[in-house]
Parts: sequence; structure tokens; C-alpha cells
Amino acid sequence: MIYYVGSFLLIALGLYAVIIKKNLIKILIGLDLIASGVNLLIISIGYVKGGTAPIFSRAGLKASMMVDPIPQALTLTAIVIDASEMALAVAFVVLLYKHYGTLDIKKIRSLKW
Amino acid sequence: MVNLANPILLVVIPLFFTFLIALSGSFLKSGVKYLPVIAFALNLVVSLALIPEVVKNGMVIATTAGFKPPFAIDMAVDKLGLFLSIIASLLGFVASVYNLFYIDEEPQEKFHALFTLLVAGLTWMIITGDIFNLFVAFEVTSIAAFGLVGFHRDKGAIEAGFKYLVMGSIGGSFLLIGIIMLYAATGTLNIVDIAQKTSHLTFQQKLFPFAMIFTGLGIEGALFPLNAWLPDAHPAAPSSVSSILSGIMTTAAIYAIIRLTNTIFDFNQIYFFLMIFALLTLIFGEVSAFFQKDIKRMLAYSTIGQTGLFFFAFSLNTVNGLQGAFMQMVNHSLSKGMLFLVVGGMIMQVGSRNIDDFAGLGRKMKVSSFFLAIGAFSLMGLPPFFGFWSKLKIIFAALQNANAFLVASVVIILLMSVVEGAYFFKLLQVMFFGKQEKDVAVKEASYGMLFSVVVLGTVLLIISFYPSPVIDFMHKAAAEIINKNYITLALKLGGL
Amino acid sequence: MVRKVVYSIFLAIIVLALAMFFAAYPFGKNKMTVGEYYLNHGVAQTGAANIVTSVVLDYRGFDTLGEVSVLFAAAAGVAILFFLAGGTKREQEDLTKPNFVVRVGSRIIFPFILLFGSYIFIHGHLTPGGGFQGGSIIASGFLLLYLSYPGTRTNRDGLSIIEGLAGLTFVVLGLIGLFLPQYSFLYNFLPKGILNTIVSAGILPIIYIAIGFKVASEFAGIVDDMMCQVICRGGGK
Repeated sequence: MIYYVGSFLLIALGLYAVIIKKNLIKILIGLDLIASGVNLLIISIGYVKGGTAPIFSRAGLKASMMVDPIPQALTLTAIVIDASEMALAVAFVVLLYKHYGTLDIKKIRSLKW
Repeated sequence: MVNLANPILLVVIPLFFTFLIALSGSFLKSGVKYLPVIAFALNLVVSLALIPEVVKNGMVIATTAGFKPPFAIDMAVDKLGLFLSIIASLLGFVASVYNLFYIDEEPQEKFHALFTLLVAGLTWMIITGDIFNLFVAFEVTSIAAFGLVGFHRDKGAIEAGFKYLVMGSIGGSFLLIGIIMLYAATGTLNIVDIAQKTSHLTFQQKLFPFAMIFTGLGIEGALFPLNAWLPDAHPAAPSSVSSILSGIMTTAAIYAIIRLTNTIFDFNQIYFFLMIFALLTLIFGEVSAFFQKDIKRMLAYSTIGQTGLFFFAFSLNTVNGLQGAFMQMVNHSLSKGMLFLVVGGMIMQVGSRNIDDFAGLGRKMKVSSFFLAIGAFSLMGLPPFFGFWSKLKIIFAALQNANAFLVASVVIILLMSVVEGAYFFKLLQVMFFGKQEKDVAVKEASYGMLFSVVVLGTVLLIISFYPSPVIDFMHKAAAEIINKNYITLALKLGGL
Repeated sequence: MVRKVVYSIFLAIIVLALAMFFAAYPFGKNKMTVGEYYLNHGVAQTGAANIVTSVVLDYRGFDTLGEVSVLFAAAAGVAILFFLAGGTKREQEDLTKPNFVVRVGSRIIFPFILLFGSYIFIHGHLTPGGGFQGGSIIASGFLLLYLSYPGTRTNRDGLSIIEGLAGLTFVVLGLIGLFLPQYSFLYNFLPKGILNTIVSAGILPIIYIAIGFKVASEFAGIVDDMMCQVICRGGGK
């Protein structure tokens, strides 16, 4: 239960940071918070009470004692995709700082209507 | 040896060539620019080879890993998906030939690799039958597009790319939340399987995943008010990339919304709400395009308007409405793709994107201006071009079971067509009858770039003067969507 | 201030909607349908002891191909953005030179980091882990080297070749499945072997090794580009 609540709070905090904050780095951190919240949500969907990791490492482990393997695979993919997006975002922020000399998003408005 | 009519090849061949470009970049140097041309030529051959199969069976299903879905990922291509993937391969081929002569700044190998990956991702989004695979394809497209928008590395490109990145990331996260909601509710990830298991969900339980998925896909699909990134990003990219982004990317995202709404979320209460969104998008796009001085920005706003138009036709939820929507999609992809390529050549000659600097080009760049006029006329909906048939179909479909609201929306559509005509005629007037102030040495674009434009223009002219095959095909595709044949065909052919 | 209040209300609505939806699917309830099939038949059909690996690489292997392409696209995008025209020269600016312990310690630790990362991706089908995790560990070893010796050069062409070769291996292994009678992409055609040994599960270890190399080279390339932003001088810019 706490995992669901935690992931919702992370998503909400991340969205707040992206929309309200003016510093570019804080916007990036907000994007990362949203991504982490979603990944936490995916993993906590798959939990089965009393289950263990889905690896048949020794004899005697039965399939009924294990958690769902699909959300774990989905989270693996989602984490890698989020890491790539973050790398690109950091590259953009570095170049924006080079061109404009400031990290304030209100000043980066050379493309108007 | 290998049966060519396998939709997986449409994705695997460009991926193969992308990694080949990465491998051979260091010793082939600029020779890598020929590899995307080969990749998309092969793609075109495969998609044409799929036509007889789809016409015979109604759908082609290809499995991966040797297991039957839903225990493995499958690709399911029906008539609409096939048509869109043919258009994607055609636009990719033509744009990659255009790239041979258009891209001359470094770094070249990375550009061609990302370009191939962009079109591969778009085709992937169209043919997949699994909802998480749709998310992965969406991310492949987005991340390739982020890098390509920032290719010129000047102030405008970086700002546009960053705006696009922030909105695209949030869109991807929302899409993922929607997918996880569907997984929690049904326990499976195959589209056909989910469609069969959603009968026990309440309206509220279907509404929240729909809202999340709609927001996520709508950010890429240029729906109001989620399209704030589009008027900055499409002009800032190199012209061949703009033609792919405007031509297929918005169409592929709207196709994904259509597919998911039709199979999984089939509730009737939302269509009115979608219609409002579509009309707002149409008004916002066309009116903003009228005030633009930058030609690529004008075309980008025109894309937003056209997307609103075919989304409106889809939300009518009748066979004629869907047929009009698909015809408009085809018209827009071919015309807008061609327009961006032509305009790219002109910008290269004139050196600026301002419309006033284009004065008099109609007399000096005759072939390019001719095809620009054809593209503009087809988008406006003038007879005898294909745009006329598609707009007529949409208006006819709207007036079929008319109530006051639908009549009002038809009036809005006609008004917006007039606005569209106004700004395109303004452009054509400046080009053909304007006077050049400074004496700029302008010659016709090089033959390679003209080849791409001529190919697209010829296809557009062919379907304008012989529209019956396309209209019939679209009618069958629309009937399939209304009758939810996607699910029945998939079950019959082993897609579940 | 009004903006903040309005947006906070909007966010609260979103959180409430999420909470209302997920209240019907409580934490810890068994919601598996396809997952149970994978748990019951995974070992027999793929031969891997780690069921998550068989889901990632065998049942849903096409997703992994997409993930590899995403990583490739991000590395290429960063390389495009940080490109300096005319070639680069590496000069160490006024960065403070790291002290003796860091310099010597990193040289001692680096081979162990490589060994640990390789262990993780080679045993991906037996223990938790796999190509992505192992590749990231190896890339963090490279990051350590960059931080302690800021003037390090890497052979970017070599990294490109490894990247392309690893990706081609994955795609070609999948294409082989199209030539076999089962006629599907990414069919597991090598013998399944004995459970819980390294040589088991058909093509899965080979794919994970390829992915490990690819991820390591791509992340090392990204780190190299970012480091170059600080210490390189572009020629003729």
C-alpha cells in the first residue's frame, strides 16, 4: 500500500517541479522524479504476497511461490529508456547554458509567437 | 528462400542498416549516406509484397520467438496499417534520397543512423499488436527525433529540442502509466487479448487509462493544447526530418489512438468530447498559420490544423467519417511531406526562411514552384486534386445524421478552409508575382532533391486523377474499423 | 502564487484519479494470467533459470531490441549535440589534479570493476542481472578512470565498431530464426542445455553478452562526450 502512495507522491512532485520551477536543472530533476515514480508503480503492481524472486536457483522452488515476472521485465526496459532520456536532456541543458548564459527558463524565449 | 511478406522485416531491415552504419562509419566516412536509401528501398519492396496477403486474408500476423500470442509479441497488420506503412516507407525512401544532396554539415554518420531509426520507429508504431511494444516504438521515435531536431545546434534548434524533450518525456510517462493501468486490470499486454478482457470494467475504470493514454499519444499527435512544442520543433529540424515529422509522425500517433480507442476503449460517450478537441485544434492551427512570416512555421501550424480536421472526421464514428479521415491522412502525408522537401530546397537557395525573401522564385525555380503549387492546392481541397475528394467526404459524413452541433462544425470547417486558402494563395502570390529587391543568384535545386519531389508529386497526381482504387480501399478499411474486424480477424488467424 | 495553487489542485485531481483506479487492485493480490504461464513453462521452454531473463530476451525479446535502439539513439544524439567541428584536442584545463590515493586506487580497482561487470552479464540467465546492468557497471569503471585521469583518451572509432558489431549480432541472431521451419524472428534455435549451468538456454547468453558490450561502449561514449565538453578545445570553431 505504501508503495502505491509513494509512487503517486513521486509522480505528483515531479509534475509540480516540471511545471512550476524556473531553474533548468530543477526541471530535469522533476522529469527524473516522474520516471522513478512510474517505475516504482510498475514494480509494485507485480507483487504477490509471500512471493520470492522468480529464479529457479535451487531444486524445490515451485512456481506458485514466485512474484510476477512481467512487471520486472517492463521496469528493466523503462529504466533504460529513462536513463537515455536523461542523458539527452542533460546534453540539451549544457548547450542551452552555452548559448544563453543563464539557467532561468523565463529568459530562454527567443522563439516567439 | 525467405518469405518476403513478413511485416517484421519492415522494422528489422532498417535496424540492421542502422547498426551497419554505426559499424562502418569509421571507414566508409560519408559513404554511409547510401545505406538508408538501400534500407528504405527494401522496405518499400516488402510493404508492396504484403498487399496481396492483406487483400486475401484481411490481416497478416507475424509472431516472434516462436510462441503464440499473448505469450509473445506479435505484429498485426490490417488494411489501414498496411497503407500507412507503405506511405511511411515511401516517404522514408524519398527523404533519404533527398538527404544525399541536402546534408553537408558534420557529423554525418550519426545523422543517417538516427534518420533510419526514426522511420523504423514510426513503422514499428504502426504495425505492432502489443501495447508495451507500442510504448517502446514510441520512445524509439521520440528519442531519435530529439537528436535530429537539435542537429543544427543553433539557438533556435536547441530551445526547440529542449521544449520537445520535456513535453515528450512527460507524454511517454503518461502513456506508460496508462499501459500499467491496463495491465493491472487485465493481466496481459496483447491488444486483442486486452480487448476481450475489458468487458467487466466499469466506465470509470476505462476512462482513467484512456485519459492517460490519450494525453501521452496526443502530445506527439499535435492535439490542442498539447502541441506547444510543435511550431518550434518542426521548423528547427533539417527539412527532410521536418517532412517525416509532419508527414508521418503525427499520423502514426493518431493511428495509435484510433486503434486503441476502437478495440479496447469502445465507449460512445467520449466521441463528442473528442470532437471538441479536434475543432479547437483545427481553429488554432489554421488561424495561427495565417499570421506567420516564417514559411516552415506556417507549414507546421498547417499540420496542426489538418490533424484537427482528420481527428474530427474520426470522432464522427461512422463509416463515411472514417473513410474521409483516412483519405485526408493520405493526402496530408503526401502533400505536406512534399511541401517540406520543396521548401527545403528553396531555403537552401535563398538562405532565409522569411516568406518575403521568396519573392519571384516562381519564375526562377520553375519545377519546384510547380510542385509547391500542386501540394498547396491538394491541401486546400481544390478540385481535381485528391484533397477535394477527402474534404468532400468529411463534410458529407458530418452532414449525414446532422444535428445543430454538426452543422455548426461543418461551417467551422468551411471557414477554416477559406483561411487555409488565404494563406496559401498569399504565399503563391508572393512567389509567382512578387518582385525581388536584392539580386540573389538563384538556380533550380539539384537533381537529386528534385527527384524526391517529383516522385511524391507524381504519386499525388496519380491518385488525384484515378482516385477510385484508393477510395475503395479506404472504404473497406473504414468498414473494418467500424465492425471491429481487427479483433475477429486476429482471432481467426491465430493472433491470440 | 495563483498559478501554483491552480496547478496544485490540478495535480491533486490526477493523484486522486490514480488512487481511485488502483484501489481496486490492492497491493499483494495475485493478478497474473500470462505471468503464471511464464512461471510454469519458462524453464522447459527456454532453459534459463532466471525467468525474468527468459521474459526479457525470449518471450518479449522484441522489446529488448527496441530498448537497445533507444540507447543507441540517445548516444548518437548526445554525440551530435556535443560535436565540435574541426576535431578536438584534449588539454587539461585548470582542473585540480586528483590526489595520489585516487589515482593509484582507481588503477587497482578498475580491472575488478571490469571483472564484476562481465560476471554479471555472462551469468544473466542464472542470477539476477544481465546485459544492461553489467554494461552499466563497466561504464562506471570508465567513468572512474575519467575522473581520476582527466586527460584520458579513448578510441572513439573502436567504440563505434564494438557498438555496431554487438547490435548486428543481436539482429542477425534474430534473423536466423526466419530461415528455420518455425519461421519467427528471434526463435531460440540453440540447444537448451542443462539447467543452472553457464552453457544453457540457447541463444540467451550470447544475446546478453552482446548487449553488455553494447551498453558499456555506449555509456562510455556518452561519458567521453560529456568530459570533452569540459576539457577539449575545438579546432577552428
